[in-house]
Amino acid sequence: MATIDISYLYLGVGLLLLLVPVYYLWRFETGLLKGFCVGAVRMIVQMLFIGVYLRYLFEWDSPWVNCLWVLVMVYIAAETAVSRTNVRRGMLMMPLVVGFVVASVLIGLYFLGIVLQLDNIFSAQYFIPIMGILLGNMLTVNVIAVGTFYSTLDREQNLYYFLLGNGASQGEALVPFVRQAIAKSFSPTIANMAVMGLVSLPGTMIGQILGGSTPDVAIKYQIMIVVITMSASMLSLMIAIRLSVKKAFDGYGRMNKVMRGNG
Amino acid sequence: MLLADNIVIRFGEEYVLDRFSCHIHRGDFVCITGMSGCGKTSLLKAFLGLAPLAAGEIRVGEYMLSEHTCGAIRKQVLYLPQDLALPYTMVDEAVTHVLRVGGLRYDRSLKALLYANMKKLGLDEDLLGKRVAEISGGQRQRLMLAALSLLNREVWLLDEPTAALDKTSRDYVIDFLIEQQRCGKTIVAVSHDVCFSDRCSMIIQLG
Repeated sequence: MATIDISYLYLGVGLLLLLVPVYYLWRFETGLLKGFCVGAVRMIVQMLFIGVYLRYLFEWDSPWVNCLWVLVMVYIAAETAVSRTNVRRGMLMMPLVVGFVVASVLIGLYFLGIVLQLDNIFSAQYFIPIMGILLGNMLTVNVIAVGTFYSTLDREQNLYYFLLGNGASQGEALVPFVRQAIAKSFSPTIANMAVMGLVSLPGTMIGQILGGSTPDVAIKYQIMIVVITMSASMLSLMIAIRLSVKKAFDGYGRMNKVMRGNG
Repeated sequence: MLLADNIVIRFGEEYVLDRFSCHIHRGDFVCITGMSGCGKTSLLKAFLGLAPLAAGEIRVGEYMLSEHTCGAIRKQVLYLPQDLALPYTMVDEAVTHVLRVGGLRYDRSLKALLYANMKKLGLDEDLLGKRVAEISGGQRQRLMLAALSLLNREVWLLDEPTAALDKTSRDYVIDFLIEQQRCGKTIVAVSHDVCFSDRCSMIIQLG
């Protein structure tokens, strides 16, 4: 069963629905109207462009080009994460890139090669969307977690020095801060996971059903998508924190300036 | 036991201590006093390698302070900073974490010792069942002192241990510290409190 295409005319008709949030954002003077309009236009333009170059990626279906494309996505994800946290760029950029690459390669290829048992794990049809969904989730988790980790550490240095001063190793002294970062970044995902199928029907599953898959295939993919995004997010976060703390402290364990704009 | 030899502590261009020296012997009960901003807390932190030492030498016990020895020094020391915030919901969790840092397990025998210390510091046992947000700054400070003392460290570095306390509670803390001094502990405390410094065996005046 083929998916029904949406013509550009009727895509425009569908976009008229944006008038509902636009009206209320304007009516209540929320100050969000401009940001919303810019965001909506950016989304439409970016998605149209992605449609064009994904078509070429799928036509070429070259492992090298696909890998290069994923590396570009990794760089953009790391750049976005750095700009959204207040942590110094030089300290965070490389750890994020390494975290994203290692987690997406290990978890993504495990899924494509071992679970799906694809003959060609770099096939654009699977490789690009799986890496895309992994990177999107890793980006969200790392922005919240890394930002929380360093801002809390910067604000509550007294606790860190208390633990360190009483003989804790640096890793032990950082445990309360890592715990807080994980709790803040993973709580929404865990809550969402618990009601999945009851309250929410996730996008991947809906997309697959609309694309012609049977519900039981769509459900299995959805379960695996949740599993791999959780695993990759946690792995990338641990790598990013582990590597970035090397630059965040001196040889005595004293904190260097980690946040932007504090000197 | 503790030696600071011509030390310079500097934050950027600002000198907090300039060529300062002191020698503290085993079993001393020392009060570091002076005006606000004169470097009292920085001196305390310097013994732990937590203050930026621009020059001079620090020795704690058998160790000369360096990047390689700071870990060993910190395992000999009990350190209680001022205004310590505890990121835990329950008081019990905070105590357990502090003891775990010192390599101790919060079992029945340790609990009995903790209760005894808490009593000496004028604290009720039922404090342990409360939420951290329910206890005062003074209770938190004394509770941490009671818990940390179980680590049985040779050197105690305390920042304003009586700052948030009334007279009765302050006397409990001073009596407790003197008892520890008699057991051979070396105690160095930053304090503005004259009643506290009056009962110390040595006063270091800064500024």
